[in-house]
Amino acid sequence: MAKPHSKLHYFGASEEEYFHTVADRRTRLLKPLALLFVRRNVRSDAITLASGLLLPFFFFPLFGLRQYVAAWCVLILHILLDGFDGPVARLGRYASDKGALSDIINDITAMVVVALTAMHFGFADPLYGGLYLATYLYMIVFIIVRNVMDMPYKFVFKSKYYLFLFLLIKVHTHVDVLNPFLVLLSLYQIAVSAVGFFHLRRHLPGVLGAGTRGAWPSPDKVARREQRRARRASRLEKIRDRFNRLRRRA
Amino acid sequence: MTAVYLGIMAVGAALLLALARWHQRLLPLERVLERPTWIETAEPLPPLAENLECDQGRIVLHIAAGETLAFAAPGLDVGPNGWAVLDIGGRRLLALLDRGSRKRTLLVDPDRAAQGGSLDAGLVGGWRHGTGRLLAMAGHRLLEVHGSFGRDRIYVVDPLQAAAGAALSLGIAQTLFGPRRGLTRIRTHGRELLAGDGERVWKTDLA
Repeated sequence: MAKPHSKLHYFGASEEEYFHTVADRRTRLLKPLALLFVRRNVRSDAITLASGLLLPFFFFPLFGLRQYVAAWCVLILHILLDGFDGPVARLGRYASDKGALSDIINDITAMVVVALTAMHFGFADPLYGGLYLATYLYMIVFIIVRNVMDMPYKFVFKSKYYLFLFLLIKVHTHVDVLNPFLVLLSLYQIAVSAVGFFHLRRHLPGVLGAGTRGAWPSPDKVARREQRRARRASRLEKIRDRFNRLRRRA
Repeated sequence: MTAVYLGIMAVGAALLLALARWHQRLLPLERVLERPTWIETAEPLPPLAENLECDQGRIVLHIAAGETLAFAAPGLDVGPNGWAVLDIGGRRLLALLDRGSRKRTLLVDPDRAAQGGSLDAGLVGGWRHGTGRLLAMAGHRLLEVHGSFGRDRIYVVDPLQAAAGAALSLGIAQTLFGPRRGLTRIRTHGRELLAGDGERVWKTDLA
């Protein structure tokens, strides 16, 4: 039986198989260490959260204090923890879409914090940095929406680690490879987002809700919402009745 | 600005410490999470056929037929509802929830432990529970109640799988939200699951 895989990721179709192979290899490699966490009842989300807290609370202030080496160490620790939460979830047998969503948010937060740090401390032009951030987020949204709707991109180049690398080069050598990289990648991300947008528009049926029916929200949730609405309407009706009776008596 | 940056790092360190200290209460383990409908009931919790006494490192288990099994268990601290007798494949097993510093749930063969005179003689396996408080049997499965920062979580655990992997998460078959925080007793009665907090009792169907 094929292993169930989450659609909540931002890989293209051609990368997905490679991604799962790497994930399985990583799980085997990290098994002894990951089992220590599993046996201590540490949920993978706790590792993801710890990884996410490292950048805004340590990487950014260490840059402010000009402790660049310490900041890079924090970034490496973040990347290691980010890669470690998956094996813990798989070995603890609680891998889920919830964890996949947390992982995506953690990845995006990391990229946003590093880009903001670069802009705030003058290593990246705010215009290029802002453009890069905005287009990166558009692109991620389109990749995830298309994966969830079973219309994945064939291949998408994701530049997060290159951003880290070019920031490192800029900080330590003052060679400005970062700003041209931000401009080029912004253009690429605009193109990918545009392709995603037009592809979705072309394939979405022209009926409200038809394209996403059955995905979200779940039928249970819809039923509960309908029940809430009915209860609210009945309460409102009772209040109206009471009000009318009082008015008639007056 | 140095003070601001140091302040941000201090906040980060505090958050990481809090996460390390209370990770299991903040982010409890879960598999097949369900929110059952709990109904408050006036019926009392059914009494157990067995009784267990834990005093000064000695466990005494009184079984329905009048049989008594006793063995030494130094350092073990089992609470009033922190034990359960299970019948797995015709074999009687005793689950003990140690509230001491080790915070482990132990699976013991009480007959072998009584023969050998000590818990180690009958020890089958165990796992760290961390925030566990109560135990109850549900057929061949075990119910383990854990405290968290929200409502209590009730884990339906396959004890053999958990013991084989020495990890609670490997044995969790189902996770249920309890009716409220601070449950003190839990029992099964047929397909019904009853939970009490000392004053009130709730029931729900156990799928």
